[in-house]
Amino acid sequence: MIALPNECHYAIFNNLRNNHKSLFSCALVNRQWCRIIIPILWSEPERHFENPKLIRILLLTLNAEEQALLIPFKIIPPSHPKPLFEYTSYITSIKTYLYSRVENWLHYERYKTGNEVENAIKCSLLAIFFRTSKNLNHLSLYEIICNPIIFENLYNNTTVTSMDLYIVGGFKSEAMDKLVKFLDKNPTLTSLKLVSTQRNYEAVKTLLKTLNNNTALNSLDLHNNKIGTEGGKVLAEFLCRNTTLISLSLINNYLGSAEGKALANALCKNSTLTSLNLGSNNLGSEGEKALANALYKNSILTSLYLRQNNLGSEVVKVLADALYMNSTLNNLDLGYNYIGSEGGKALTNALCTNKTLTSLNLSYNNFRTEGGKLLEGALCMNTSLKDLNLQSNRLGPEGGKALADALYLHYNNIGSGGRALADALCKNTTLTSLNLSDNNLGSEREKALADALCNNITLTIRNLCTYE
Amino acid sequence: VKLTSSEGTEFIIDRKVAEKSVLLKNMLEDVGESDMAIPLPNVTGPILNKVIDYCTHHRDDPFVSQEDDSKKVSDDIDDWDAEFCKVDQGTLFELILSANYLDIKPLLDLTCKTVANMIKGKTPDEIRKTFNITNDFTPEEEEHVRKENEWCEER
Repeated sequence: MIALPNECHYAIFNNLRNNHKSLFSCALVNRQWCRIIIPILWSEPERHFENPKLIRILLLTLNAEEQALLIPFKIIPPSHPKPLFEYTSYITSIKTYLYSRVENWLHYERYKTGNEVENAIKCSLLAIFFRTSKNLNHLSLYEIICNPIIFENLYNNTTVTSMDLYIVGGFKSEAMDKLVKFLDKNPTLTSLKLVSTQRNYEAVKTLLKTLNNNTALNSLDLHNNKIGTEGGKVLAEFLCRNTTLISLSLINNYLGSAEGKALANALCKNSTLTSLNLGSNNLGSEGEKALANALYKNSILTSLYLRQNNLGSEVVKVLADALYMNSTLNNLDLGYNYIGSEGGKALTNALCTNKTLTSLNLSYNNFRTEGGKLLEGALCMNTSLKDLNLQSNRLGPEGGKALADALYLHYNNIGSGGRALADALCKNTTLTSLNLSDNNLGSEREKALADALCNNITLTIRNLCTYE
Repeated sequence: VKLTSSEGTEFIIDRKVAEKSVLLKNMLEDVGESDMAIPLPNVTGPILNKVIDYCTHHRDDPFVSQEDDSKKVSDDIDDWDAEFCKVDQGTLFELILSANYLDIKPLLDLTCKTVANMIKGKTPDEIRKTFNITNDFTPEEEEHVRKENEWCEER
């Protein structure tokens, strides 16, 4: 074999990065291969944490200080033989999966399980990662952040760019104190996810206050914090001033009409946010209208997610009007809103002129046959849409046929909806993704669609199975 | 654009084809059009011929940036590319070296992927045989590496 430089070997092995079995074989070929493979193999071992042997190897790296954490629980960590490599230094990402597998290891080694002992092991493992890792960039944490050893390490860390913090129950003030102290000083974290299982308004308020002085963070996810009216207000004020955040997710935060208005107002002033997720809130028609109107003024936002917000047809009309004028929005998610055929009509009219939307999710909107027919006209005119989700809209055979006509650019179709649709797919070349599951399109559907797939190379059809 | 291979053979190709190589592209930008041939002492004539074949076939492909998600791994190789890679092992490795030297990312990806596919599903012994590699591990070392990494084999 011709001698290749290491960078070429790396390029070869990188193709096998998801094929751990092949990587393992390569590691055993010779010394040179082994040295190149080990860092790739250990960069993301996540899915193997269920194997107690892996956790055992990790524990071999404990130093005296880290071992001391386990003494009170009478756990004698494996100490020999000394590993050939400092494996822990290659790990790039720690997700919650590691935590849930510690118990597994305890069982395997015949130790008693329990919260305290598991926490001690988790702390010791995290301490190793912090001490040895050169490339740790994603970290999932929970209350363990309060442990002085963890916090001290986190405080001095400069490689973690993305962090998820999960809290069962509300955030204890101690955990929040630690987080705030960390954020105040840390210049490298760009993405933070704060997930709670219950109302967490005070914590979010504290967090936002800290973020006023932070210029590194550009993605914030406050999933499930149920911040409600007060929280929404604070958040809107924050957004008016903030100039660093690019992506904000507020799924399930009990945001109502007034908060919707406040956020809409903030969107008119903010000049950096490109992605906003307001899924599973209850913005109400006033709040939603205000948001739709904000799309006239805002020319920054490229993604807006309004999934499951009980949007009525009134609101959708306002939104559709805004889409006539807006030329920045690429992704719009209106799934699970039961918009109905009236709202669908307004929306499809807007699609005729809009040239920027590339992805549209209209799943679970009860468009029925009329809606499907209306989409026909729209799709004939539209040239930008690449990804359309129409799952569960009761389009029926007729609606399907109309839609097919659109995709086919008025080719003359006969037969059932599915058949026609299939024919159409053979011709349309702009749409790359279409989801039509659960629409009761008609009996010939499956075969015809399958045939169509043979001819259409740009489109991938997902979820064809239906629940008739 | 004129190129000379290691044995001194001259090749004349379109600038557009030459620009598939980031190395040549930068050179051409630096010195501008010139009648002088660019010497490529690291590439032999037959290999340069293959590389030019590849660049000519893919001349209109959009440029892929260097950082374009190195983690993205796909197995699909189109028919022309697969046919292109049906060469003896020596040529294949020479192609990897040239693609690396000339900085032609898509060709490097393709050739490396081809080698990766040759590795897939083989035992260490079979891999050594395929590529004629000597095992320089001591038995103890080999056992160590096996023990410390066997977790990834079990699912």
